[in-house]
Amino acid sequence: MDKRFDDQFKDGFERLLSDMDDAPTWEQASTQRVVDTPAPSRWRSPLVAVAAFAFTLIAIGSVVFLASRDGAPVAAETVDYMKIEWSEELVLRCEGMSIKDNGGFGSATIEVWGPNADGLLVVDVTAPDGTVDHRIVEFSPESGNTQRTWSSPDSDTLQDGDDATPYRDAECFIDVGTGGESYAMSSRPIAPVTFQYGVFIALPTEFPNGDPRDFPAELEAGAVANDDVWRGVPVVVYTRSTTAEESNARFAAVQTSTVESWIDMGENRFERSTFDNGNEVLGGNTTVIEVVERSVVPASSVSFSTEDLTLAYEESSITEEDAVDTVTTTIAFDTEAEQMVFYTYGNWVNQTGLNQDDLDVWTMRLEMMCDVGYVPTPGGTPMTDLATAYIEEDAERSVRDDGSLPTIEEAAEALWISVADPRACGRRWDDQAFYSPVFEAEALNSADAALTAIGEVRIFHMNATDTEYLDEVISRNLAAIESDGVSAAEASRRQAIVDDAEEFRQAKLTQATIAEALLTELQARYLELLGDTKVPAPQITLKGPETVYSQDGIITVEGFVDQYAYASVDGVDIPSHVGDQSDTFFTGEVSYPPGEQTIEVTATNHAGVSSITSFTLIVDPSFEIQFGYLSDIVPTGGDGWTLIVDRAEWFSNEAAGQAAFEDGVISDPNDLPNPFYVRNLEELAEEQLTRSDASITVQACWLDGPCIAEELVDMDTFAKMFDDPTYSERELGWAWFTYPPSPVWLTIDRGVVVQIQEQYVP
Amino acid sequence: MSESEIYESIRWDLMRYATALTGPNTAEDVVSTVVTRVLGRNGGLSGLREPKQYMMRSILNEVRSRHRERVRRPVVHVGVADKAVPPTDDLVLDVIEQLPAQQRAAAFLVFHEEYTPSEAAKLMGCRPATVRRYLHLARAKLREALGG
Repeated sequence: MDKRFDDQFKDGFERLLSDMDDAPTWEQASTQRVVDTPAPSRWRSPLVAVAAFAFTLIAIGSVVFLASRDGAPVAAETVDYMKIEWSEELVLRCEGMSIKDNGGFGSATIEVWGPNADGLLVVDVTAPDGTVDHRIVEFSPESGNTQRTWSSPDSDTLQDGDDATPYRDAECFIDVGTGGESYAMSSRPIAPVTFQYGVFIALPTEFPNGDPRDFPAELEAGAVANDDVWRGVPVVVYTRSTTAEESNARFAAVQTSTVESWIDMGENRFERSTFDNGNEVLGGNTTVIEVVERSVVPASSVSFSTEDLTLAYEESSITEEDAVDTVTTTIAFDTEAEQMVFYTYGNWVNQTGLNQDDLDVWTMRLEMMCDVGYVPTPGGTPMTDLATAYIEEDAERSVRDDGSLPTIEEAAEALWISVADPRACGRRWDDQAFYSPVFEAEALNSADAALTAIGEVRIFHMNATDTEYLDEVISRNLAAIESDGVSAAEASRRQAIVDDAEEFRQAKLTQATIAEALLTELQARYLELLGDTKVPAPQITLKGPETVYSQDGIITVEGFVDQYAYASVDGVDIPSHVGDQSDTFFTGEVSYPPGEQTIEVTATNHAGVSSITSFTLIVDPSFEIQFGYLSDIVPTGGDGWTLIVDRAEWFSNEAAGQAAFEDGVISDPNDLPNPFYVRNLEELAEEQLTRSDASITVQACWLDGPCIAEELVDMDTFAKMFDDPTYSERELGWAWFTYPPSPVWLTIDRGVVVQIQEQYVP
Repeated sequence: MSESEIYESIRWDLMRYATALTGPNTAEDVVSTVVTRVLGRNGGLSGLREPKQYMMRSILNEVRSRHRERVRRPVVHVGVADKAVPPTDDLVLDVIEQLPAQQRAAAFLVFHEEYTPSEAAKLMGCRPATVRRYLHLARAKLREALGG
């Protein structure tokens, strides 16, 4: 992505802030000014007694919480939930198929029968020549029966096909021409025959801080909330869905749900939910629930019947005679009224037929699936490999009643469908970008498509080599294992997660290898398709001086490329420029051993055409690094210069807060307003001899360009800038951002300054 | 530090953040709402380990919450007079205003405030990779709007 977009954002925000009001004073801010939007009246009606059914996308790890009506903490019980699952078979019926005048497939009507069916369906249309058009059809709850019509444009005649076909075997045929050729449309479910529904019943729990209004604090404290996923956050969440139908080109009607969520703040005060239902892991999705009354019931009193779909709980009360009177309430699940909640995450997961309920495991798997699903791998789908691995990992838990395991094909199909669902991978790619025969064929037969595919695969390759997420999982779980008081069972569970993550790291490397092979193939094909058209090599513009001095060998390589291309340093991709295929700005940190060396920076465009540029790096641990404020530049005769520098110390991030705290500037190390702090050393200014060819970078603010940008100047120019505040604007077109005394880092080689780098200070 | 002193030390940062996320018309109200809410919790501002980080997260949550409310039901404003919004043909501003709150927050923190994605992630309460994704999406929208 072109860095100019970043700068435009910066300018845009600057203009936005130019209209900023005064910040409210303490007196203003501390006075409540907002009136709560009242909750629906039915929610404020006297509470009778009901359990709350809650469903969330991330519900496997979720804990839903009930507080007492007045907002006081509920009596402490263990965080608990009850998960209930049952299955219902779906039936699919193909009602009509058509062909177009040109012989292509026209349309068909698919009916899916089953209570609350919701999900994705694969529709394969096989033409007489054997080519398969692979499509996905969505369907959603609609009063028990769901009908979705799929059609392609310009359809004409309709003919009836098979009727009332069992779901798994649904196929429709239509004859075309002579010779018995036929189009076949088969509709397959997403793996197992049955769909799983989960219902979470909220049970009493407690807040670690004892205050249900402390929801954000719980997040920050991390006592319950996970850093990555806001799961396990104990709040009462009431949600209500409203549905609407709309028409679009793809489906006859699409039922969409909008969801309102409230958090019970106690005292009949409901606040709209401010947390994200798992967008981090699974793509944003919604909560569906239609329960309006609640009370706390003991976990032990709740029972659920899968036979008649009823929920029962017991509630005790003290009668006038001081006797305990127990009332049992039974609630029927009215599926048609959508009182039964649909458990989407479970839906995705359960489609694989795997019984794996550890969210960390599924999180990693989803990450992998989303990456893998992205790659049009020649000769098959890597989902098969993943499905094989997952079935093996979950074998003990995934045995069906008849003793069989889910098949690899079923699970692979389910994985593929899952990543096609934008809720799973967060629309990480366009619909056509994930693996499909169509996409692959396009990539190999069109130069433009091949170019796009190369870019996509390059991104995939970078993702595959980026194991940051797995590193986080591993380090977090290892830390938990080593912490005091961890039980053996918990340590074992976490070790299993670590082992999984290590495996995934290896799997990612495998995927990177696949991507490399694919890149080679696509690039060759792209050049072939281009024919005689010559692809120009990218031109690299490196930022920074031609000679860089470093004490520790760690340097940042930055630059621009004049076309879409990817940069590498000495053969290693610079990953931090990952944005999309249009990136032209790259930056990355690299490390080198002591000595003088030539660093080669390579840029490779989508066609695989490269260019190389280089700079000199001198790494010497004996270099002295000093920080201070430049207060004067004095010529010493001949070619030499002397810098007068007031010594100082620079601190950043946590060290800055600590240093400022030690100096008495702030009373709390966390209160530093900016992530840096400069400690002035009360030393006399020092004189530093400087080479006339020293490398000098300053912070520049272009009059008609970016502000700030690093610019190179020579020593003579530097001295002129120092003497004349208007020199750079007049002669160079930019203003010196921090006119002296400027904070600078000096690299000193045996008493002589060889490099001057101005420190950016916001 | 007293509550008011803590607030005084961070109020301009909060105001800038709120303005960037929700525009100048409602920023002040957002800040006031969040401060009011924090004061209602045990310990108030002084009970927070990192007040600025906490408040910035709260502002982001509040903005997102208001956005949902705006989408799904009428907004009830009490005691806050809207200022007239001058019409703008500035494409970049239009894009910024249409960005989801999280993308807008990430873009502001990284592009304008020049935090690293890791630092922005801490302030937003998410992973650095997520911030990078938000940035990518924000850039893509700007590029699309500019036809680039």
